[in-house]
Order: sequence, then structure tokens, then C-alpha cells
Amino acid sequence: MKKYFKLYPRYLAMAVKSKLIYRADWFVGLIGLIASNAATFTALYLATLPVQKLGNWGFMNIMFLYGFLLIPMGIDHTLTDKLWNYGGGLINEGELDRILMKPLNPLFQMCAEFFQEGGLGEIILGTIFMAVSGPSLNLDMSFNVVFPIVVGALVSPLIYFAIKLFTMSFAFYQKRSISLMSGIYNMKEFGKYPISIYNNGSGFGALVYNLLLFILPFGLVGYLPLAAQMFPGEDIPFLWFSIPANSYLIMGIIAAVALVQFAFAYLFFTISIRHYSSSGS
Amino acid sequence: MRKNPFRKYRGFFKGEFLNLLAFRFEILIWALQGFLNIGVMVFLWLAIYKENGGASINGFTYLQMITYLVMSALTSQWVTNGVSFHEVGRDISQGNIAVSLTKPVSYRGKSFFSTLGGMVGNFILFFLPAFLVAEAIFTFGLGLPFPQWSNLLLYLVAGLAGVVISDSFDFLLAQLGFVTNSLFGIMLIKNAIFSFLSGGLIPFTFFPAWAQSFLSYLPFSGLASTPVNILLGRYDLVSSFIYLGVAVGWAIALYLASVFANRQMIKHVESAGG
Repeated sequence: MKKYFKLYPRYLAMAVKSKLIYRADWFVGLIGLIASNAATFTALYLATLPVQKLGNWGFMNIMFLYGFLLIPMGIDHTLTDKLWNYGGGLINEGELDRILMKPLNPLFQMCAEFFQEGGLGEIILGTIFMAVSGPSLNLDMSFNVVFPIVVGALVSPLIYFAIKLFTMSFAFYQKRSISLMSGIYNMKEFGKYPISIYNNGSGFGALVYNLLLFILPFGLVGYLPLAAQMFPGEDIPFLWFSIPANSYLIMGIIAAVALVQFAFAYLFFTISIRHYSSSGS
Repeated sequence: MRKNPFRKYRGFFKGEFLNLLAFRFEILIWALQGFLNIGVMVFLWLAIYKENGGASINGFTYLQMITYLVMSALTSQWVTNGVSFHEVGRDISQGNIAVSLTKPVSYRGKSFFSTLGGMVGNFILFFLPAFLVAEAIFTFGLGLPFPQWSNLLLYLVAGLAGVVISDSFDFLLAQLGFVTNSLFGIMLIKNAIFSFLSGGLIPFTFFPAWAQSFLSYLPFSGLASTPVNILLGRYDLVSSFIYLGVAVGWAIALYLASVFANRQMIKHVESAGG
């Protein structure tokens, strides 16, 4: 285990350097994810402009949520994006032979060898959104609120990672899994809005809401911790009951769901990778 | 007897069409993802209209808004799914372009007819069934009027202009393959600009007044706003023809620009003779 902590910075430094060879590529990649998030967000701004709020959530709250969410999403993008290439057919091209030869965990190598600079763009944009909207929100910044939120935000990239890893692993059976990967992963769009909008009183809405908390827990990442911070004292609907707006409780839920999801995904990955047989190239 | 000049391009048309048939299940999964976003929009707009007490906003009632978004998602399935960006971009950044230039066909013509082949496949396999199901739901389930036949016809013309606009833009942007290998980044930027400025994410009437005055005259409007507004009968006959004229004008201008870029590109290519 100690070995990995020592190797990871070296792998990462190598990945960053190999990306920095082409400065123009670096810049284009950085702008790419900023542009697509800016377009989605501006459309959201124009849509909510006539009404200014969605339930409790004023426009500034929505902006803060969007910015907050971009940070765990960007961390995951930056560090684990090579999985897309493995799902997109890299497994058949003999890339895995090289990895399985080395006495290191294959997943570690698959992720550490690549650095996606576009994720940094998301982190930058997220920080800007939070800096713009934060001051007008009158947020509770006491240690007992901020600390669990930060811990939750550092754990929650695992949620995105787990979903990518689980869906990518189907490529060991079907050669390519990128369409499944992107289909499931793009459900993250649901989490970019306060997920209370799904819980609109209909049975179907309640189902979507709870799916976003447990099965595809994109709503867990941003909505739950921020709802507790922005609206203290208001209970949050949760399954068939509701939970108090307690930041430590929510941190626990995020950590539990993220770790369970990751454990499942990793288990599936280790089972699936045994199906791999080299093409002999 | 003169030979038909399009004859030699028929193979590219057919090739891309068959390619689409071969990968129909994979493409279907990609196409279904467009509908995930519709799912988000249904909830988001429901929440917005609830805040407003259900009154219409900027000329759209809730149902009209959902119709608009569904139709613009369906339109993009056949209008903005050209192959020029990926094929030309890959050819340029991997150097296959030199081989392509040895063939006795126009390189631009080849990529354009491939796009048309894919477009016909997308139209028949995905757009038409989905459009009929959507219209059945809107007409019989929700009681909205079925589009008039004249509007359907104008929609097809506007959509075809949109195909040319989108494909010519793709070809022009693919030239950036000469300066960067990050075609994925370019694609993200392109998609962001296309979907936002075409009115595909949100209708033009939600934009501030100063932007509305010129957005309809930009080439991007031909990709979603113009065809969908015509289809839904939101433009009267005169403005239909004005915006249709704008789209066709841009289509011609951008196609000529892409032909010019093709010539410049050929001068730019240096082959090592390997």
C-alpha cells in the first residue's frame, strides 16, 4: 500500500508532463468543459429568470449548488478519465497486456497514467460560481457545518468514479461499453438542479428523487449537504421519512453510499477483468 | 453523353447509410440519451411553471415548451449528426489526409455525401418513428394541434439547410486538427455553441431583447430554432419565408466557405511520401 502512495505522485507528474507537451491541446481541453457547463448554466439562468426561484431555492442558491457540484465532478474528471478510453475499445487494442505485465494493481495503472486537464476547467468554473453567488447567500460558515461538507465533497468523487468503473467493466464481456457508460454517467445532469424539483408530489417524482440519492446518487453530492447548510432546521425528505438538516449525518450518508458503491464497482471490476483474454498482439 | 457528376459520390452516400444500419443498436443507445435530458427538462420546466402559477412565460405554455424541446431534440438527431467533424478531424490529425487526396474525388464532396447518407439513415431509422410517436402523444394524448402540412414541408426544407450549415461548420472546425490534437475539446466547445445559440436548449424568446434581435439571423438558428418554430406554426408565412431564406443563404455561404477551406487545406498538406 505504501508503494502506491509513493508511486502515485510520480505517475501523475508523468501524465501531466506528457499532456503539457502540446500547450494548445491543454488549453483547448480546459476550455471545452468550461464551455459546455457555461452553456447549460446560462440556459438554466435564462429559464429561471422569469420566476427567480424554484421552491425554496433562489437563483443564487441554484448557482451555488451548480458551482459546488462542479468541484467533485472535476476532481473525478481530472484523475480517472482514462476509463472512457478503456470502455471505448482500448481493451481490444492490447493496452491491457502491458498493464497486466506489471506487478501493480491494474486499476491503479489505468487511472494514474492519464491526466484530464478539462477537469481543472470545471474546478475553476465551480470556484467562480461559488465566489459569485456565495456572498449574497448568508451561509452558515461555522466549523461544524463547513467541515463535514468539505469531507463529503472530498469523498463524493468516488461516486462518479464508481459509476464509470462499474459500467466500463462491461467492456470485458462486450468489447465496448462506452455507450452504456455515457448513458448512465450522463444521468449526472439530473443532479445539477436542486433535486427537490423531482419530488413534486407524484409517485414517479418521488421514485426519481430517491434514485438520485441511492442508486445513481448524483443528488447526494450537492443537494443534500447544501440543503442542510442553506435551510437549517428544515427536514429533508428521505425515502419514506425525512432526516434533520444535520451536516454530520449527511456526511455519514454520503461516505456510506460512496464507499458501498465503490466497493461494489471494484468487486465487479475484479471479477470482470478475469474474463479478459489477450489478443496476442 | 455526359456522365452524372454525382455518380462517383453515390458510394460514400451508400457507405455511410449502411454503416448506420450496421451500428443501429449502438446508435440507438446514443439517441436515447438525448431523451434523458428531456426527462430533466420536463421536471425543471414543471417546477418553473409551478412558480408562475401555470401561466405562459415568454409566449410558451408548459405543454408548448415541452413540445418545443422534444422537437428540437428530435431535429438535432438528423440535422446535426454529420460525420465531417470526426472523419476530417481524424484524417488531418492522424495524417491519413494524404491518402484521401490521391483519390479522384473532391475531398469536401466525399465528406458531404457521407453526411447525407448518415442523415437519411438517421431520418428513417430514428427520427421518423420517434416523431410519429411524439406527435401521436401530443395530438391524441395532450390535445395539441397536429402540424399543418405546409409547415411540415417547410420544416424539411429548413432542416436540410440546417444539415448543410452544420456539416460545413464541422468541416471548417475540423481544420483546427492542424493546430491541436484535442478534437474532443473542440467538439465540446462546438456542441456548447451549437446547442445554446441554435435555440435548442431554450427558445430565443427567453433571451434578452438585444440578443433576440440578431440571434435569428445567425447561422446557428438554422439548426434548431428556425425549423422547430416553423414546424410548430409559431411563425406566420411571411416570417417563415424570411427565416428560411436566412437559413438557405447561410447554408450556401458556409458550403462555399468549406469548399474554399478544402482548397487551402490541400495546399497546406505536406506529405513525406511514405
